[in-house]
Amino acid sequence: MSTDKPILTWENVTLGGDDAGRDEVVLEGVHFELGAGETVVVRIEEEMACPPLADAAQGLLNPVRGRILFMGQDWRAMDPDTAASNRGRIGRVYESHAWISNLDLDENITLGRRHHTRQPVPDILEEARAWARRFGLDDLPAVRPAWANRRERRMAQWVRALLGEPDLLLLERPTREAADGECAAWMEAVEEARAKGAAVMWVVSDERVWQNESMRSALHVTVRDGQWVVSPEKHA
Amino acid sequence: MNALGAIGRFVVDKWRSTAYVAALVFSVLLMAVKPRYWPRTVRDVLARQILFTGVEASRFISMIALLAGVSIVVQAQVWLQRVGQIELLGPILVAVVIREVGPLLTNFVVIGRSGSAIATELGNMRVQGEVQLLDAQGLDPFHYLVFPRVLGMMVSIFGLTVVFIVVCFVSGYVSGFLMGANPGPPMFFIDSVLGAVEPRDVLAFLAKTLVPGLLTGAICCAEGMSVRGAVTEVPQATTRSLVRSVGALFIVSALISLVTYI
Repeated sequence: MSTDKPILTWENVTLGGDDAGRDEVVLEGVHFELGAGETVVVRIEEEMACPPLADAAQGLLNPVRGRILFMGQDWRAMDPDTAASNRGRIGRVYESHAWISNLDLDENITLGRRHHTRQPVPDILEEARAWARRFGLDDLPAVRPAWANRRERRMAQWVRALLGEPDLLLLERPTREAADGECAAWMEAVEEARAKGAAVMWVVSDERVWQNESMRSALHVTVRDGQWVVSPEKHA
Repeated sequence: MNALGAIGRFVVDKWRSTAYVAALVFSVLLMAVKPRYWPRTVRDVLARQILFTGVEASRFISMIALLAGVSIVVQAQVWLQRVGQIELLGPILVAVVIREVGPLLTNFVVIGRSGSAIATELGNMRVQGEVQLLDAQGLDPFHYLVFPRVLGMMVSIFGLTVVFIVVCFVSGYVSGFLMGANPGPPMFFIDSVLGAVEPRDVLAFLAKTLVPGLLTGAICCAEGMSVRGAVTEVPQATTRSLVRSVGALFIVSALISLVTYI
């Protein structure tokens, strides 16, 4: 989608641990803007829990201070239908709680597209299968999430995130435990999505991503002691 | 003062939970008439709910109806013949089976079978973070989870009650015939029952199937979604949903009977 407005804007945001901000502050001083094709890479320690950046970027967690805007609109100012429709334009790889357990993986993958669009299901499945094959799967796994192996679930998350050319990708350590070949295929796919105009917010613990050539132009940030520290040695 | 306060708190709590369920039902009905709230994903959930609650329960309901037919219809035939009032067969069967026993037993079965399943399923989804996952994908949990389940319960209870009544009458007639109760020719029996059905019976039948169906769906969904994060809350929510659904069923049935027949 072409727009003059930035896709994602964080204005002096402080995040708490829950929606009411009752918990201690988990992250403060977050300020950046992502336009089409731009990336922010956020490095956290391997053993550290993923900060709720993706939840906040989707308007599921309100900041204690500051504002988060999607396509120029503050999540808090959107009516529920608009917010739901905007979330349908965001692809995400979840660190945890990624699946609806009473739907098969292929149904999980296509759920958002089937809900938000009138695109024929065979077309959605065809696009999903094409991504699955690129990542090394023979077909979309048509089993309950609990019955799929970790590799299948990881690939299925990647397919779901990229389906339907999202405007924004929120990636929570997507390459964890991925083999080098798989990681390369995934980075290539994200690069393609960026070229088509997607903004990317990528949380990493993986040096392969942090140091990758394709991330040269990205804004590099480290989360340290609850602070948002922009790396001075930006790769670009 | 403390006792008075406790009573007051009890009344306020009951009033709040009743108002919440009423608002939930109202929202579901409001959504149901707007085409934009019927995407294919929601239609799929509705179809699955009707399959699970209605179609898959039809065998069990038929079995209960068969046994109810044997006991209720045959007894009515035998006793009315003995007292020489066989012309009252139709009105009595309509009053007992169509107005009261059919809707009540069907609602009981559905509450026990599907109401508990809904509360448990939604409670587990809350605990496992699946409700937030839906939200993150832009699927409003009320729209995707609650709306089709409440309507599915309503449609299923209506359909199952029709099945119950038909099977009950057929089994009652056949068993009466086999046991020598002399139920007369089939057309006499059918005329006797259909002729006794008045418009207010149809109204009561609709009200006693559709309203409790909506309330059971809404109560079970509300209790399931009230689970916050601990697995131990799930069985508690399920128990609450069953108790409240049965309570609502009796209250609604009694009110409808009062309004319709008195």
